[in-house]
This record gives sequence, C-alpha cells and structure tokens, in this order.
Amino acid sequence: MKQKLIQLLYDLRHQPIIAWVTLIATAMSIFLIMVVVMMQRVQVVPFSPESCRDRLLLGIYIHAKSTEKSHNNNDGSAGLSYSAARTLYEDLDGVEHTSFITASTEKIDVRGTSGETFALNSRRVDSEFFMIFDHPLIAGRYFTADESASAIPVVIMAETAARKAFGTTDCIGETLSVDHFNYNVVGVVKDNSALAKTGSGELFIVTGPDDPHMDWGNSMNDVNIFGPVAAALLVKEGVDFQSIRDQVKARYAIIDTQLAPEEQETVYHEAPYDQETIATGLRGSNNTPDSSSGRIMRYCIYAILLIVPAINLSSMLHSRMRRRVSEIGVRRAYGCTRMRIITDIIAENFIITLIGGVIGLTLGIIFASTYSGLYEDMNSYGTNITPAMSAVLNWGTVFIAVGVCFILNLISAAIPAWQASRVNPVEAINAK
Amino acid sequence: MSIITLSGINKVYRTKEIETTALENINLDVNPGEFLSIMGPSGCGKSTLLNIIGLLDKPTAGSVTLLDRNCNNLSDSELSHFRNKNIGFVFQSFHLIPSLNVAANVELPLVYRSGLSAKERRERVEKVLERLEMSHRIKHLPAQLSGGQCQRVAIARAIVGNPSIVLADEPTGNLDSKMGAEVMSLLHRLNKEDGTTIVMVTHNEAQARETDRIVRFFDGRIIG
Repeated sequence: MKQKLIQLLYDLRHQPIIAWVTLIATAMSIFLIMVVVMMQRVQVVPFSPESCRDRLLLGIYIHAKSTEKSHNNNDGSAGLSYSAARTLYEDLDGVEHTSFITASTEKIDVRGTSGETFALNSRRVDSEFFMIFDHPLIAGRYFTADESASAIPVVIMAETAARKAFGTTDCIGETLSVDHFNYNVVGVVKDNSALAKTGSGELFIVTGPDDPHMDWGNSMNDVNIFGPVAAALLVKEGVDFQSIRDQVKARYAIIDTQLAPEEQETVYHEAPYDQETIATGLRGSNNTPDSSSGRIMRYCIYAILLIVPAINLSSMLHSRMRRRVSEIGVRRAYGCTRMRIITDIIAENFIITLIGGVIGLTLGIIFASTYSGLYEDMNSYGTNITPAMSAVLNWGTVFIAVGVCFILNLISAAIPAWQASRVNPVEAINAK
Repeated sequence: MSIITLSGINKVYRTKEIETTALENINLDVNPGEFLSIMGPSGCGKSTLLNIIGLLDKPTAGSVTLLDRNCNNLSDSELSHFRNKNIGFVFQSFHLIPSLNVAANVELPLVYRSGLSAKERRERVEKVLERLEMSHRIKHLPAQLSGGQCQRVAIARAIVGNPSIVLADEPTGNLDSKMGAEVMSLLHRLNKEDGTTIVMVTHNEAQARETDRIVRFFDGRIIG
C-alpha cells in the first residue's frame, strides 16, 4: 500500500498532466454518477419526515371498469374516496398505524395576525399522520383522535409558515384564516423537505370522515369510490409487504360487491405500493406498476455513465503504463507473475480512483444538497425542495460510491493491466 | 554435475519477410560456483543466450536445465517462481525502479516470495546493503546515486534472495573504469564468498580474463 502511494506521488510529480487529468476526470465521473445515484436515492431512502420509508406502504389509486356483460364501456381510475380508502386499508393485520390524508398538497390562501394573505402548501391529515411521519414539534401538540373524528377546525403549521402568519412560532391558540374559514393553531412543527411527497407540508389541516374536502362525490357511478385520499400504512417490523397486499386484494371484493348493481368491477394493480415502486414503477392510476423496466433503465444509465469515462481513463492509464514498461520487465524478471502484475496495477489505480472518488463524492453531496433545480421534476410544489442532508449523505451513499469507484477502476484498468502483464520481459527490459 | 546445462539450443526470430538465426546449436555446461564470461561482437547472440539461461526467453529448439530441472515445459507462473528463487539479474543500465528508494528496489525479489514477513524482508535488505557498503544510501532514490552506486544497488537486488545463479549483462558497460573495477571486484567477492555461479556477458577482455572461463561467440555459435 505504502509503495503504491509512493508510486502515485511519483507519477503526479513526473507525469503531472496525465496524472492530474486522470484524477480530475475520475472525480468528475464519480461526481456525475453520484449525483444521479443521489437523485434516485432521495426518492427511496428514509429521511425526515418520511423516516419510516422502509416500512411505509401507500394506497393511492383505485381503478374500476364496466363488467363484460355491461352495455356501458366505462373505465375510470383516480385517487380514493375516504370511504373506499377505509374499506381497503383500515385495520389491516400487520399494520401499526394507518393514516388517511390528501395524496398531494394544495395551495391555499391563509392569513394570520400579521395581516398578510399568502399561499401555503396544505395537506389534510388525520391524527394518525403524525404517528407515521416524524414532524418534530416546536410548540403545541399534534391532532387528537377526537379532533380528527369530529373535524374540529384546527391546524398545525410549519415553522416558517407560522413566522410568516404570526411573526413568531409562539402562536398556539391563535386563529388562522384558511380559505376564509377560521382555524385554531394547535401546533408548530419544524420545516420539512417537499421531496417527502407524502409526508411534507407547510400547513396541516385536520381531517376525518366528515370532511367534505375528502370526497369528490359521484363521478362514474352511484358508489363513490374516487376522491383525493391516500392511505399511508406503517407496517409493523418484520411484516412482509406481500401479506398486506394479499389482505388489500381480498378487500377489493367488498367494493366489487358494492359496484355489482352498476355492472362495474374493480381492477387490482398490486396496491399498496412501497417507495421503490412509487419512485420507479408507477405508470398511472390504471396500470400495474412495473419496477423492472425502470430498474433496467436506471442500470443502463449507470452503465453508460461508468463506461464512457472508463474508456477515457483506460487510455490515460495505458499512457502511464507505457512509461513503466521497463519496470514491468524488471519485475517480471525478478519473479512477478502475470497475475500479480494485473492485480498490482489494478490496486495502484484503485488508489487514484478512490482519491478521485472522495473528491467527486464530496462535490456531489454539496451539489445534491444545495442545488434544488435537480429535484424540480420530482416535486409537486416548488418550495423547500432541497433534501435533508441525511438523504444524500448516509452509509448507503458511501457504500455505493466505493462500489462505483471499484467498478470504474476495474473497467478502466483491466485492459491496460492485462496488456502490461502480456509484455515480453526481454523486450520490456530493453524498452527505452 | 552442472548447474546450467544447455543442449542443442537454437533461437530463430521470424517475421513475415525474414528469418534470423540468433543462436545455433549451443551446448554449454556451467559448473556450480563457476564465474563464466561470454564474449563476442555486438549482435552475435550473447544477450539472447543470457535471456534463455535466465528463463526470460524460450529457445526455438533445445533444452535448458537449471539446477537439475528441465525448464522447457514450465508454465509462465512456474518460470516466475523459479527465477525468483534461483536467479539474480544485473543489467548494463541498472534498471532500478525510479520511484522506489534503494531499500524498496533491493527488496523487490523478496516481495514476490511467499513466506517472508515485512520484518524479515527489511532485515535481509539491511544486511545485504551493509555488505555492499550502501547502508548510508538506503533511503535515497536512484536519481540521487552515482552510476557505480546504482550498480551496487542492482547487485544487492540480484543477491538479496540468495540465488544460486547471477546473470550479468555487461555490468560495467555504463561505468567508468574505476567504478567498473569496483563492480567486478564485488562480483568476484560474491563468487568466492557465497559460491554463487555467475555468467557475465562482457566486451571487456581484461575483465573476462579474470573469470574462471571465457566462452567466445560469433554469429550465434560458440567458437571457443
């Protein structure tokens, strides 16, 4: 190891252009790859307020169509009504908490004592929501089950929103005008990243079965199954997601019974979904998710991002090796086997790749955690979309970065190392 | 019993257009502890023969037996291990690795030998450098040494693994007469004290006459 570092320093001194270009190119490659990796990972790794992502399942859509014997040809899919969501997802075995919420946030005008009317990204949530998503309290409390059940007009605000409405976070008991209706502020929570698509919000409005906002009314049929509701399920530790899906699938029969007089039936699409499926596999509300094609596409992008710089780095290493042909000949003369030549060159190159990797990863983390433009496509509303640092910097990211370095090193060094191992020792020793 | 036995060695270099015979029916026996010189004009095949004895090159025909082992059918990996254990090389241009200091250069053959700890390797390196009066330069890079010192380091590298055979290809060719004499005296010392068999290619008649035997080459054949 020490000798390999010495060799690297010697190269930096004696072949500065090639060595520095190799180092910078490696750093840039790792930077690019890791930014793409981190962009993908912020959609699946746990971070506040979705710290429970590894145990989180979401029921978002429902799909219904006319039965074969029907004379109509209706086919519709959308979010769930509150009643459909409860039928499918309430009290499932193996689920710790179930929360019914609006699937997406909605811009809504608010006005506090500051007198300024401004729009906040609001989400209607029940009392269970705060059992699933971690929103640390700054002041006050979370919603109670009674407030949720009775639709008492109370809200919880994010820190910045509270400051804007009341000039302070000490605003518990104050009245907030929400779309011209008065709500009582019962809690203030820390600001959160909008990249947490299900758990984020600037204003949380209590909701329950009687909330008219949670129902779209009839659309396709007399049995109201469509609405803005999503079910968030916190699955118990160690419970298999498939066992939850099996229960939900069985409950589709209840809705089918309700729809039967209308000559309609549901189409089951493997709900509820985990984060990986939501990030890569969702293909609309009327299709079964397909994570495999998304995964293949992702691997193809990684492969291209790896192979293109690897080819360039390979030619750089080839140039460096050409200057060391004589050394390789001497090493061979003194008993170095071909395999040892290969492993030594790959190991030596791994050090430079690793140094480049550390630089690239550091730049990538800084970029991914500060440049919000990366995530605009992932986000339903455009404020506070930089992810929590824990989403981009974690052991998983470091492990992937080391793996990427290893693969990049292997691809770029394999051919030059193999060529170096095949040189004729006599010709190598006599090489100028 | 010979330590090196070459029987009917031929070496032919072929390209699409031309065929060049570098060695023709070479038969040679070298005894253990012998100091042998090979002389001849440039291009007569001396270095080719040394490379074949050193198992760096393969003959087109004939057999090479070193230390009672026929080396013709050894695999590349077996040849590497055999060289590592039994043969030391001294080159005209020293061929020290420029990025490594004296100690690391001398250590090189031991790095490729299994069963030696780092401590054992370091002790052996220190011992051989002390013997060759190069201890004071142990941390220096080759670029910081004179030609004579470089060749001393190269000799230290050749003998650190206690090989039975040392092959020297014009070891004084790049040195002035004084340094050349010092290197020759060192090689004679190793030959006498350790009983190491030395085969040396040289153009220097005086140096060759100091050795036990001279083999003269001309046009790929032994002429005397």
